[in-house]
Amino acid sequence: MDKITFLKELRKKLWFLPKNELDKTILYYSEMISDRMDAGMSEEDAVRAVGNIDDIVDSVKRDSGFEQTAQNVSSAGSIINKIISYIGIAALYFAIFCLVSTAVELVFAVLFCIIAAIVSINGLGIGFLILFLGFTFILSAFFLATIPLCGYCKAGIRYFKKLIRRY
Amino acid sequence: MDIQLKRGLIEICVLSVLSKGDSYGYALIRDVSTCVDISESTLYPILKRLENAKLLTEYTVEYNGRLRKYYTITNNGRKRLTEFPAEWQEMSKIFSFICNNSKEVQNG
Repeated sequence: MDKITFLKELRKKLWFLPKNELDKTILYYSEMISDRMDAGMSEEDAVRAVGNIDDIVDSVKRDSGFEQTAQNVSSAGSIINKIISYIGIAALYFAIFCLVSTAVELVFAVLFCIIAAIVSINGLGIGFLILFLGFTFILSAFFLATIPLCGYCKAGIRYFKKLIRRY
Repeated sequence: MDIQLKRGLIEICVLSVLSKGDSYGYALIRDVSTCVDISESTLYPILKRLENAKLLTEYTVEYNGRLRKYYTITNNGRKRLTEFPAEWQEMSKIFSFICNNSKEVQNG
């Protein structure tokens, strides 16, 4: 495998890392391969010497687990990230309790809740949450909002009619 | 050797190499490899952890038309190195405790 293919493959398999972390990791392995080539290895050998992609991914995974807990305690950025994650989950619960009326919709809402929870626990970042939130709102607009909102509207109209009749 | 145990020792190895002067990734692997087997994927998290703990800092230098990252030991890193011998005494106490216990088990 040549260097570019190796780095591309590695980048693909490390998709779960935050962007700056991913760039740093790729830069590190790129430098390592170049240095081995400067030391006289062929490109093929240098790539092989740096290691198996799956092993690298495993070690990064193992490590990012440790780092995450350490960073969550210290860095303000990740605290904000966490808060936004909780807001996301809260919004999803809100969606369930306010809008859900039938079993099918409940299943969908719970599913998205679980996804949002997993996302926030893994700390995959704000981007994912916004994506899931957006998706949820579209879905809730599609599945949930129509029926209950009609109900609310009807109830509202009835209430106004009552008010008007009273005067 | 147990990976956790090894990691902690390699951290000290890396710091000790850097205490002699700044170095970069591949050179670190070469130097540390003379005493303990180490791969790129082992070194990377160690460097990251040392940097997060502010035991080393990094800077980038242009070399051969590409960028190369150099690592410098900080004062905290030097302090960590000086603490190591005392820690090792404690380690050897633990070591003999473990050995004595396992001997007793073997002897019944």
